[in-house]
Parts: sequence; structure tokens; C-alpha cells
Amino acid sequence: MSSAPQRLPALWASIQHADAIDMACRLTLILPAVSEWVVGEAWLYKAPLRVLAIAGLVVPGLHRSRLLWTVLAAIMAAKTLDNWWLQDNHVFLLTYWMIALALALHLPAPHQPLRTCARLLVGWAFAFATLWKVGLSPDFMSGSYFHYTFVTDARFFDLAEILGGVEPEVLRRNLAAIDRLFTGDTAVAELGAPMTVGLLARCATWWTVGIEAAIAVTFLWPENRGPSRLRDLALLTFGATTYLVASVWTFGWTLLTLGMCQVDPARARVRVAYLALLVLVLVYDLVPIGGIAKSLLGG
Amino acid sequence: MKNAGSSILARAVAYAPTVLLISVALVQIWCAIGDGRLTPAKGGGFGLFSTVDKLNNRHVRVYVRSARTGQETPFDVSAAMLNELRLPAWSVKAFPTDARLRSFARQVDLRATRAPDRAMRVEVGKMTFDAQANEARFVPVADAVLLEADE
Repeated sequence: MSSAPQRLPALWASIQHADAIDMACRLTLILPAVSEWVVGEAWLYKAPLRVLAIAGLVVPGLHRSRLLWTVLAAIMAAKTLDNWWLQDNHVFLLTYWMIALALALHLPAPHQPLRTCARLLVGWAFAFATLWKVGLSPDFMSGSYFHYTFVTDARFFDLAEILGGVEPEVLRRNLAAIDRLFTGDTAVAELGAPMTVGLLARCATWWTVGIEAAIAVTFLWPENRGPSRLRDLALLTFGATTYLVASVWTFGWTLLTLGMCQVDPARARVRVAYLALLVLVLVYDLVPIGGIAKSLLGG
Repeated sequence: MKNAGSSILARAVAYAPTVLLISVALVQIWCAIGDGRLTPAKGGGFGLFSTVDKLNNRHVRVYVRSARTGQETPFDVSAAMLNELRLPAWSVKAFPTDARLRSFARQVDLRATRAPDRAMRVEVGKMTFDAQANEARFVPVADAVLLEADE
């Protein structure tokens, strides 16, 4: 029996020498295999996506099958087109990526085209995310979006309490006020929040715009030149900070899989960092870190 | 010839998904900004987490309007009906086109008993928030009226 420290070098070597296409296929298959959000509610799409993804993960060699990926990509594209106005952004991103994988597996040398594709998809996704925040949204740069989110969105309440100093009672009253707005009992909901929430909202606004713009620039910049050298640092920082607060593990998983696939195969440490962050994003989703932090701080 | 084919396919792998992403995102921006009806959070334009106007912050309300007096009263959609119309309600909230609004009104109408001299109006509203005043309110996005002649 080998001990844990002895197994670590073997794990390191296996990651270092793992084929990027194998990793891309397996990591991508995990999403339709386990995520309800990705497969949706309609059995027409849900059943074949789930069955094919699980088969791809458990049947040896099937994860690289051209036929499997062609069928998966076709079903995913049909699902995304059907009610496209209801689909989340990461479902679109995953669809584009599945199409790329289905096409790439027909190539004798798929690695470089797939690396380019992953890099451009991440870069353009963040370019549009930045455009929305900076130029198109009427309430992002003013801080209104984060202000409202911190005091009405339960996913952000831990952060609002820890960093914004908002009392739980105030958050409960805000939710009740929003409920009354929805039922039509009132035309205006007055929300409570201390001054610190405004400051927290401004910090979150500028941090989000800064990190997302940095990812767009570094991923779209020509490779191995200037800011492009910081692309992995930017995406890893985004993943480590964003999904700690916004628990959307499927989006994090998709982005980090793409991030890992665009890494130069010679940079094994960066690839390991992406894999470690993929695990961390799952931990963020499963462990109530905000609640634990509040307990530690005596909240 | 085989090499040329591979080269074209390699370019398609590298660039076609990105061309698709950009095209879809531009259409989404047009529908959300140009037309003003689609919620920025949906539809592949990457507008999520950029505005309070997301799907959960939209409402769909139904009013019954008297054809004689023009007076409107809110139509109380029952929990059972709301559950049955969950998907159409999400759909009309996310992107309230005229066709979708009228289709939703028709579906409510089929499940309700409406006096013949009354029309039904469906309205979708989106949340706005003023951080200075700490006030949230709904503003209308779109509405449509279903008359007997439409049925």
C-alpha cells in the first residue's frame, strides 16, 4: 500500500502527461451528467443528454467518440435554440464548446485549434460581459445593481452581513417589502441598508469590472505577448473570488474547463491550478462558507 | 486535398464557435436594448449580473377590463393556474413579444371565466432600483390586450 505522500508524485505525473483533449472531454461530460441546470426540465433533451454523458464517462474510450460528441452537440444546440430567450449564458457557452469538441475530434491534430477556440470563447464572453456592465446596463456602474443585490438576494446576505454590517432583521424586512411589491400591495419598496452597503457595492462594482475587463483583454491579446501572459492569473483570480460569493458552479466549471484547455501543454503547474480550482468551486457550492465565516466572527 | 480539408476544419474549430458567440450576443443586445423587451440576463449576450432587470425581478400581471367603462381590475391568478402556466409565465416575462403576451392572455382566458363584455390585459413589468433613495419599483416593459375578436 502506498501512502498519500507517495501517491502525490504519481498524481502530479498523471496530470502533467494527461492528454488535453481527454481532460477537456471528461470535464465537459460531467456537466450534462450531473447538472440539472445544464440539461433543463424537458425530458426530450434531459434524458438523452444525461444518458450519453454518463455513458461517455463510464464506457472506456467513449469520451473521445466523434459520434457521441456530434449527437451531444446537436441535442445541446437544439435545446439552446428552443426557448433561447430563457437560456442562461453558460448554457450558450457550453453549447459552443460542445460544437467545437464535436468538430475537433474529426481532426488528426485537434489540440491547437481547440486551444485557440477555448481562448477566444473565454475572451469574447468576458468582452460582452464587460460591455453590458460598462456601456449597456443602466444601473451597474452607479453601484445600484450590487446595492440592490446585497440587500435583497439571499445568496449575498452573508457577505452583506460580514462586510456591509447589515443586520439580519433589516434583510428580512427588505424581503418582505419586495414581496409586497410583487403582490401589488405597494407601488414602491423602501429598502433598509446602512451606509457601508453603498461603499461595499462600489467596491464590488469596480472589482467586477476590473477583473472581467482584464480577462477579456488578456485572453484576446495575441498569445505570448504583453498582457496575454497574465491571462491564467486573471481567470484563476476571478474563479477563486467570484464563485465564493455567487454559487453558480456550472458556469465556473465551464469557464475553468475552457481556461484549462487553452493552457500551453508545457505549463503543467497552471493546468494543475485550474484543476484544483475546479474542485474548489465545487467545495464553494457544497460548503456554507459564508455561514462558517459568520460563526467564526461571532455573528 | 485531405490536408486542405483538415486545414479548413481546423479553422472552423478555432473560429466558428466564436463567430457564433458574437453573432448571438449581438442579436441578444438588439432584443434587450434596441427592442427593450428581452431581459439582459438571458439569451446568450452575457448580461447576467449587470442589472437588476433579471427574470426573477420581473412580474406578469393580468387585468380584466370592462369594455363599457374601460375600468381595470387585477385578475387573481390562482396558485393552481400559476403552477400550470409556470413555463409560459417565465417565457412571457423573459421576452414579452406581442405574440407571447397574447398567447399567455389566451391561456389564462381559457382557464378563467370571463364575462363577454370584458377584455383581458397582460402586463410585464421589470424592477428598477434607485440606490440614492433606496427605493425599488416596477416599470412596465410591455403589455397586450386580448379582445373577443382576437380569439
